[in-house]
Amino acid sequence: MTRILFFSVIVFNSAYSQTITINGWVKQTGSDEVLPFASIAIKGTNKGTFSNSNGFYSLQVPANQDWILVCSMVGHTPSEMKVNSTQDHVINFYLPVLELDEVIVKGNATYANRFAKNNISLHLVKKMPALLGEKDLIKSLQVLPGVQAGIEGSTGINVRGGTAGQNLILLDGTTVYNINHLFGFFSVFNADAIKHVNFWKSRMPARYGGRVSSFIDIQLLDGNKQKLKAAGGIGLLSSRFTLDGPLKKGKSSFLLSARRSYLDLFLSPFMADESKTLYQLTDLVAKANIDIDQKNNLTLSAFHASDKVRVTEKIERSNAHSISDSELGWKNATAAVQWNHVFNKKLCLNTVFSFSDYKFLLSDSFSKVFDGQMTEKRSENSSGIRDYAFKTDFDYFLSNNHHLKFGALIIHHHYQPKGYSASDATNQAIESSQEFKNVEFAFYWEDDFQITNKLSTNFGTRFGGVLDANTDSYFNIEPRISLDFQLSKSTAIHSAYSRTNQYMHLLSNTGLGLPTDLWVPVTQHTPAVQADQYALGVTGNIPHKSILISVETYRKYLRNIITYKDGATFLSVDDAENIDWEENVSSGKGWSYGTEFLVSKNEGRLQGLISYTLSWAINQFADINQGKRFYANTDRRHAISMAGSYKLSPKVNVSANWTFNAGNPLNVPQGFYHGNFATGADIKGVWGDTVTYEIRTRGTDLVPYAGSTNSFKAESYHRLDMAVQFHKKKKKYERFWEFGLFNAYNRKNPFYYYLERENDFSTNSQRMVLRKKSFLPILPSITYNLKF
Amino acid sequence: MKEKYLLIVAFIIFMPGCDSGVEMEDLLVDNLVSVTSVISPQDTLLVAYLYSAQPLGQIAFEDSALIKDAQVIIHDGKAGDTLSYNALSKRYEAERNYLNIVPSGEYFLSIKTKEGSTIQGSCIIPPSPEIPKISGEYQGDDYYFEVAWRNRSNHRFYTFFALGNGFYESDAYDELDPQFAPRYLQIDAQLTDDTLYPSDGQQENNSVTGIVYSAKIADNPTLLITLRNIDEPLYNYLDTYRDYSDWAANNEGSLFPNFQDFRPIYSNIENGLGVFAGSNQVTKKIQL
Repeated sequence: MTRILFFSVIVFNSAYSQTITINGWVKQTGSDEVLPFASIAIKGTNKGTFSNSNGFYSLQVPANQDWILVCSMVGHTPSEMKVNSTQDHVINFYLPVLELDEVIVKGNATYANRFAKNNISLHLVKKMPALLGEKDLIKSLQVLPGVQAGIEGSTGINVRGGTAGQNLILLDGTTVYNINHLFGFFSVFNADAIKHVNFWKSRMPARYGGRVSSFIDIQLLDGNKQKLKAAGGIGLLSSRFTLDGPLKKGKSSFLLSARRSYLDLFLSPFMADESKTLYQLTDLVAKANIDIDQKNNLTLSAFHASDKVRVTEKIERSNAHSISDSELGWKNATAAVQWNHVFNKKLCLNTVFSFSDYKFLLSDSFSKVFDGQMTEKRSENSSGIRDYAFKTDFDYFLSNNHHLKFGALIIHHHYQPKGYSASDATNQAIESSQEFKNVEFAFYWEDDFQITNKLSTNFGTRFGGVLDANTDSYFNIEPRISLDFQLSKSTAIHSAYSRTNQYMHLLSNTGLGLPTDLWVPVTQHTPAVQADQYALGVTGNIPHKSILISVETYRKYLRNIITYKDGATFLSVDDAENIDWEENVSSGKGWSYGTEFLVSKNEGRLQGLISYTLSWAINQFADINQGKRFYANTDRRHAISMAGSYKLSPKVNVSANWTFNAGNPLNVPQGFYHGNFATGADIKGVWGDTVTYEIRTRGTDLVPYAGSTNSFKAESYHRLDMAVQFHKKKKKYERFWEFGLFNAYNRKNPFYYYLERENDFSTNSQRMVLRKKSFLPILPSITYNLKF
Repeated sequence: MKEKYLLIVAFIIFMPGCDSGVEMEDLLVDNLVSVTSVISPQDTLLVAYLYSAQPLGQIAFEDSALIKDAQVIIHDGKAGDTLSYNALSKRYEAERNYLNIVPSGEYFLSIKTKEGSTIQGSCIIPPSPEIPKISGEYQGDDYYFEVAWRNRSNHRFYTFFALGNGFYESDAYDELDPQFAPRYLQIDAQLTDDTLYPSDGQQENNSVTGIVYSAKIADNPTLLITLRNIDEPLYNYLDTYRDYSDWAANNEGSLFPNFQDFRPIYSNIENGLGVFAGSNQVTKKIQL
C-alpha cells in the first residue's frame, strides 16, 4: 500500500513539467544561524513550503513568470525575492532579527497556523517572569492548553493527562531523560543557548516516536559564524554565560554555554562545621558547527547537567568522634555528531550518532571512633539509563504539494534500575544490581501533502519495536494522520489521529517528579505502552490583529501503563537489596479526554496568550482500587493560564503570568477509624509475679481512611508572577535589568500532604491531622543580563 | 456560514461530556462504621468489633468511637445468631446457638445502626487444615521442633503459631521488685521466621521450624501449635494493615514523604469499612 502511494505521488508530480525548482537555506542575518520552520510562500498564491529543521527548503515555481517569494519567521523581519527564471537555482534567504516586535509571519495562513499552535515563542519566554529570574523553556510550555505542571514549581509536565515519563525530550536529536534542576524547580536547559523548540501533542508526525504523550524537540543555537558574541546573566540563584562565534568566519562556529549555582559557595562559610547542607547545580553546553562545503555540514555537540546535595555532620567528643556524609545527586550527559548532507535540490539528509547517559545516586556513609574502636558503614543506591543511538532522516521536497520525510532509528538502551552496594568495617560487602539491555528500532515515512488549496494533510506510518534477547520482543505499526481544511481565509478545521508506542516506562513513586523515579524497560510483565489519540479542532485568525483563536478536543486511550501496586516502592533505603521492581508493579489502562481553548497574540507591543483546558484523566489497574476505574494523579479538571508581555517603551517591558490549576486527585487520608488487626498468630506476654504468654485476639489500632483511590482533591493551585525589564542598548553592548516577583500574592500552594499525630494535653490523648506543605512563598528577584 | 462554525465549536466543547466510568466509593466519614468479625467452625462465641470512624482532627479515643447500640446478626440465610454489646469486653458477642458454621459454607453479617444505616458483609469458610505432624529434639535446655503438614485442598492463605506452656524459675528473680524480675517465667516458643504470617504461600507440603527455649528446665512443658486457614479477604485485610504500618512508621511528620504512596487498608464491608471473614483451624498439643 505504501509503495503504491509513493509511486502515485511521483506520477502525480511529473505532471508539473513547466516548473523550476528554487532551493536554498534560510539563515539569520548577521550570524548565519540556520532558521528551521521558516515559511517560504509564493506571494499572491496559496503555494508555499517550510524550511526543514536544518533551514533547508525547496520550492517549485512556474518557469518564465515573475514571482515574488516571501520568507518569514516569528521574531524576524520577512524578506522578499523576485524570481523569473527558466532554470533551477539556489536562493538563500537572510532574515534580520526583529527589533520592535511589530511584524510577523505573512503568507499562507494554513501553514502559519499549523506551526503556531505547536510552539511557544522564545521571545515571549525571555520576557515572561520566572522563578528567581531563571528563564525556563519547559516551564513556559506549561502555559499552553493541555500542558500542566506536575507539582508546585516543578518542570515535570503532564500533557493531556499523561505522566512526565511519557514525553520525549530531544536536545539536538538526543534524548534527555531527566530535565530537572533543583528537584524540578528549574529545567536543565539554559534559554540563552536555545534556538528553537517544537512541541507536538496533538498531531504526531511519524518522524517522532517512542513516547505516548508529547514530543519536545529542542534545537540549540549553532553559534555565530560572523562575529564573536557573548551573553550572560547574574541572578540570585545562579549565573550563566554564553559565548559563541566563528571558528573560521562564515564557515564554522562554536557555542559554549554554562550555568552554575552559588548556594554551596556562598552558604558554606556561614554554616557550622558540625552540620552542612550544600547544593550545587551546573550545566554546560558545547557545540561546534562546520560547513564542510555547500552540501555538507557537520555538528559536534555535548551537554552535561548535574545536581548534587550533600549533607555532612560531625560530632566531636573527648573519647569519640563521628562523621556522617550523605549525598543525593543526578546527572545527564549527552554527546552527538550530526551530519547534514544535501544530495540535490530536493533531497537532503540529517544523520545523528548520539550518546545519552542519565544517572541517579544516593549514598550514605557513617564512621565512628569510640574508645579507639572504629565503626564504619557505607551504602550506595543508584539507578540510570545509557543510550547509544543512530538516527538518519531524509527530507524530500517532491513538489510544492508533497514534502516527504523518511528515516530510521536504532537505539541501544542499557538500563540499570537498581544498583545497590553496602559495606561496613568488617569489609562485609553486599552488592545487588539489576541490568537490562535491549535495542529499540524504528522506520518511518511521512508526507506533508497539500491535497487542494483548502485541504492539506500530514500522514505517515512508523514501524517500530524493541528487540530483547532475554524477554519478548515487540513490533508495532503506528499510523499517523492529520487533516487541515481551510473553511475560509481565516478559519481552519483540523483533525488528527495517531497511534504511538512507548518501549520504556518511568516508574514514579510519588508523582513528584523526583529523580528517584526509575526508568525501566518493557518486559513480559510490563509490555510496551500503546496510545491511540483522536483530536478535532477549529483555528481562527482575527485579520490584522495577529490574534489566533483555537479550540481543540481530544480523546486518548492508553494500554499497558504501569504503576506501583498500592503501597509498593522500589527505592527503599531499608530493604534496597531485596526489592524487585517487576514484582511490585501493576499494568493497566488509561483514558483521557478534554477540550482546550487558546487565544494568543504573538505580535505588537502586547503579546501573550490565554488558555483554558477542561480535561479528565482516568486509570484502571487490576491491583489498585479493587480493579475499578479512578481519576489519575494527573487529572486536573480546569486549568487556566494567562501570560502577557507589554512593551511600555523601547526600554521598558512589563510582563505577568497567572496560572490556575484545579486540585488534582491524591491518595490522602480523609478520616480515621479503629479496627481489630489481631492476626491470630501473635502472642502477648502478660507480666506479673509470673510471666505468661497468651494468644492476642484483640489488637485494635487507629488507621486512616482514604476512600477510593485518589478520592481526595488537593487544593487548587494558583499563582501570579510579575516582572519588569529595563533594557539599554549601548554602542558595544546591551544590558537588561530584570526585577521579578514570583507568587506575587503569596499563595500557599500545596506541594504535598502529610499526616501528623498531634498531642492534646487537655484530654491526654492524640488527634490525627492532615497538614499541607507549601514550598514557594512570595519571592522577589533581581537579574542583570548582558549581551555584547 | 457562521452557524456552521458555531456548530463545530459546540460539538468540540460538548464532546468531553462523556461518562468517565469512575465509581467513587466515598462514604461520609461521620456516618462510617468499621467492623471486624472473623468466624470459624471452632467458635463457641461469635464476636464483632464496631467503631465509628472520625474525621481528621478529632480526638482519637477508642472508647468514644465504640458503637454500642447497633443490631448485629450473623446468619447463613436460614438461621442466625444476634450479637449484643458487652460493655466489659467492649465488643458484640453471642453464644453460637443456631448458626452452624461449616467449611465452604457462606455466611452473612448484617448490621443496622441507630442512625438507620445498613452495613453488610459475607464470607466463605475455608477448608479445614490437615492435622500437622510435630517432631523435635532437645539441644541443651532448648527444644528444637519441626511442624509439617499437607495441604490437599490447595488453599493458599493461612496463619500459624506456636505456644509453649510450662513454667520455670528465673535466676534473676528479685523479691523486692517482682514486676521487673518475676519469679516464674512461661517457656517461650519462637518460630524461625515469624514475620511470615499471615501468608498467601501455603504449598501442598509445608513445614515450619522453631525453638522452645528453656523447655528442659520447665515444669511439665508442652507445645501447642495452631494452623489456621483464612479466607482471602482476611489475608488482604491483615496484609494491607502490615504494609500500612510500615508506611506509617516513616510517613508521619513534616519531613519529605518517604517516596511511596499511602496504602489503603482492604475492606469487604458494604457501606462500611473493615472485614467479615472466615477461618478454620486445627490445634495440636505435645508434651515435650
